[in-house]
Amino acid sequence: MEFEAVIGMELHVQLKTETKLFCSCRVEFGAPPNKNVCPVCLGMPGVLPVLNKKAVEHALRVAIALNCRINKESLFARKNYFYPDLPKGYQITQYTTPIGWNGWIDVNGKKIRIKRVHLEEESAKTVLEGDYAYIDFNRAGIPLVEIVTEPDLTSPGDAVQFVKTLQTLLRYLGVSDADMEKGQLRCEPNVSVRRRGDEKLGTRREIKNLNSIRSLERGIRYEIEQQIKILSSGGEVERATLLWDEKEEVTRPMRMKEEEEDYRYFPEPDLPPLLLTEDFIKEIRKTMPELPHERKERLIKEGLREYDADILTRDLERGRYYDEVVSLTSDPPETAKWVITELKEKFPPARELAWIINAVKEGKITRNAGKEILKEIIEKGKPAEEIVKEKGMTQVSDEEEIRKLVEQAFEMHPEEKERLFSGERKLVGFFIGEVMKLSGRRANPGVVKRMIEEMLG
Amino acid sequence: MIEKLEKLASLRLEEAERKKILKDVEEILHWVEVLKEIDTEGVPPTTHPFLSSLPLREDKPETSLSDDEVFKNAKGKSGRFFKIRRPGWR
Amino acid sequence: MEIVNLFGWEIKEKIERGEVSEKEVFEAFYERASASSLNSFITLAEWKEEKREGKLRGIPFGIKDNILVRGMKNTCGSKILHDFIAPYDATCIERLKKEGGVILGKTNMDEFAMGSSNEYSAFGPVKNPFDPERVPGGSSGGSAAAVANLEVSIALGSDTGGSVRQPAAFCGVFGLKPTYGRISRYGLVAFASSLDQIGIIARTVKDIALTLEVIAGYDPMDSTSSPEGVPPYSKIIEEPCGYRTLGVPEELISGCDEEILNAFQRTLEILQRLGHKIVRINLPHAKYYLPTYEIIAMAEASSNLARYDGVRYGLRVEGESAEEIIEKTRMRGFGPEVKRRIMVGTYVLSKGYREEYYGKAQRVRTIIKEELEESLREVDFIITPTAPFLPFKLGERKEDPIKMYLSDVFTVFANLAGLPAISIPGGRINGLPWGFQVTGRAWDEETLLSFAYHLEREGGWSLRQ
Repeated sequence: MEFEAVIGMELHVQLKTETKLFCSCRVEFGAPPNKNVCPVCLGMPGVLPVLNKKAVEHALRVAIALNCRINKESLFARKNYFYPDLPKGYQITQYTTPIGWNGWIDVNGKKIRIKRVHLEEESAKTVLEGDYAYIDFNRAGIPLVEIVTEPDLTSPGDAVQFVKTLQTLLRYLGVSDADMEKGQLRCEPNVSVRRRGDEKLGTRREIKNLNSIRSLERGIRYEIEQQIKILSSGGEVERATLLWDEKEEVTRPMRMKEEEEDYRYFPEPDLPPLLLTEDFIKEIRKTMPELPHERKERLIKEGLREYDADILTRDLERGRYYDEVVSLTSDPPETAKWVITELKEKFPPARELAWIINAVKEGKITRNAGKEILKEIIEKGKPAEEIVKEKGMTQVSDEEEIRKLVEQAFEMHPEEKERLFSGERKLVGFFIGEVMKLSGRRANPGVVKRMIEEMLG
Repeated sequence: MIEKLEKLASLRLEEAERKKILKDVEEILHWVEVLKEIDTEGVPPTTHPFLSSLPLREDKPETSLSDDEVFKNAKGKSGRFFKIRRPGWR
Repeated sequence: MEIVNLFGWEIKEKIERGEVSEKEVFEAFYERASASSLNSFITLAEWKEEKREGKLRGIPFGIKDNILVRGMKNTCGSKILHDFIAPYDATCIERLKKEGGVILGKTNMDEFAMGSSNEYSAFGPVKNPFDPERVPGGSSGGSAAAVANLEVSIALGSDTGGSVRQPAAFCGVFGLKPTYGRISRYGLVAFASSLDQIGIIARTVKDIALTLEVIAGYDPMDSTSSPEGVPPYSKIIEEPCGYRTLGVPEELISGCDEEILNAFQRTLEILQRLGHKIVRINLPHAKYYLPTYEIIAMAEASSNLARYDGVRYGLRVEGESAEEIIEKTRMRGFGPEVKRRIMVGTYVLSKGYREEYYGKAQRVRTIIKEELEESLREVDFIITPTAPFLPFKLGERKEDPIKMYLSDVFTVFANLAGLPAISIPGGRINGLPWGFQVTGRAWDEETLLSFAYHLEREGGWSLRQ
């Protein structure tokens, strides 16, 4: 390949908070339009912004998780432009002093540098229909974290891995569900192409409207191809913002701009500087949840294979379920085996699976019996113990019954009985095995052992 | 120059006032040039008169406006939406 | 004595003693206000019978039409908000009402508080009560005129570069701009966010002290409001004030009209006779105060006024596209002075010019703030005339913006440095009122108001008519 791609990303993450960034309106998915609005987020005359503490905590978590340097004193700024979905005619964001900067994230062994992490407010939602625009301000003012990377990605695949890794991280932090289809995570890659070996970067173009991982991959791939085409034929790539057309699967320039927008950034006078004290930062660091890579390392240490540890890290739901079950079984490798291979989409109550795992381990039921029971639980919703009883898989623990079984075993093996009673303790195991056979593996091995020892005197 | 400012400020000037306002604006800009005389090397800007720390608000939802109040002053409404002609671009 | 001649605190006491009812008070002032030809009001309120109690019980207030009173029109003197009904109360209004204050009406003002003569109102100019052919000052011209003309007891205004103090001087009444952050700005329509403060206009310092006590204090809805405690001003001013040192900045006041300078000189002599010390102070950057202020104010204003686009409220002029609607709405809705300021403000923030103009002005502001704070370590107050000239005739400066801006030459530094300042009526010159301004240290309204009250009583500046 004569050419190489250089890709950077700008991402917007909707934060999971109860209220908006600068007012106490509820953040609620699916509310009736313009229900969760107030004078502040409607940009009425005389209103002022008041910063949401939780949003700051979330943004700080993101910055810390991305190994950023933290700006202990950060300012908010106004980004001025006109658009019907922008109630104040400016967006409050951070410009010269983002909360976090100069960080990095490891994506499958590759280090992607993070330029900045900052807080800003979301705009309203506009629906275009015919000649009109219909605006819903419920979304206006929702907290966003903007993450900007250095152009360290080199392929569509890279970009996809990066986004997936970031999504997992954001979900672990509990700061966002980061679902692209729901608009909770927006990715705008900027793509440029240059001849391999060239130091200078090519002209970059940014792509908007990539609403899924799939679109992200296809969009970037398409744009790289386009740029290569242009350069190969001796042309020049012109600076532009592109819109991804989902249907046609092509990029189209949004508008030809002779000059870039002038946002006239200046420090937000209505918000004094945000001062993050040492204690505040320390508290956040202390309460950071286990990060994905930390979890994976831990699971491996606890005895899981890397492959399994990876699955139980990436798949949040399965991973959390695994955590629940393993707390009841205390056997990571065994639990992992069951959770990964035996469960498809539906999970039975954790204590049921734990019961099965423990029962199999203790020899109360066979492994196959366990799988059967699992299926029953998922299909019929009955608890494991009930199923075991029904199917006659119940363990026998009754002392009288077990005494009878032991005596039966003694009768069947008189020679071994003689040896046992004259001191060959290792034959205890032999007789336990015999009793298990006699009981169809339903006898409680612990009770059997005890009984035998009792009878030994 | 004035056309660029009109665009940035989303503010068209009526023909009748355009010349006068342009003249006024130029005069004002010229008048404030005098600040160039001052040496501000190493002087930090004042972004806020008194440097207090930004207070943080608890993340608790509150309702404030009734439906009536939300739309009371709206000049374009359709159902529960604010309605306006669509933007010419984007 | 007629009710309207009483001071606010006197009215409240009469009401508590049962000598007059709240309704009678309201009607007396309402009559004067509606009969007035000064055009001081844009909207008059209706009488509301309700249980009232508190420090301001029954006192009729005039509220500048850029401070939101729920359910009432809030025009900011502009066509673009000509029919806007406020959906909430400003915090200062909430506090006023809680202490029994009565809103008599919304006063006329220069459009969006941009002006020094109240000639830039979409609802017609306000006339000076002392001479209807002259301006009352601005931008809180309606508030000052209403107080001076006994249409209300006390009025609230807003002061960004002198908009409470200068009209107070032009109308012969007291006008206070407190320390920046003292009074919540929530509900005050923003002009220049780092300079705006709500101010109080009255005929006695005691009414100002009482009102300040009620409306000042931290507001969680305003992140720039200060957690500084609010002392009981109305009690403090009754205590003896002591002898003070006042600094006169010679180079600042040199550009003043002769007649004002003479009256000012005489005032300084009276102060000395009262036992206070007058010294000269040096404010080396005085000539840069006004241009620095204009750059910062216009820049912030250009951003603060971006929300007036016809989308959610206010005037909407129809068009083919959203852009056209926004442009046309602003074209028809804003007056020429507002447009000028938006243009200049946009320019000084624009790419390539921002550091040169706005950035520069912000740094000069630091220098200015430091030199003023330095001076106030040597002296207790800085004293100057409030305005460099007497109330001028309607139309005299309207077409010449810079000439108009010069009205604020003595008032802007208090806004730049966030300092509290009060305009004290100085008497009459050729039958017209003039005032002098006393500026104090940040957060020290106590000392400032005590001094002003002492002058009111000892210095013969009482305004009983």
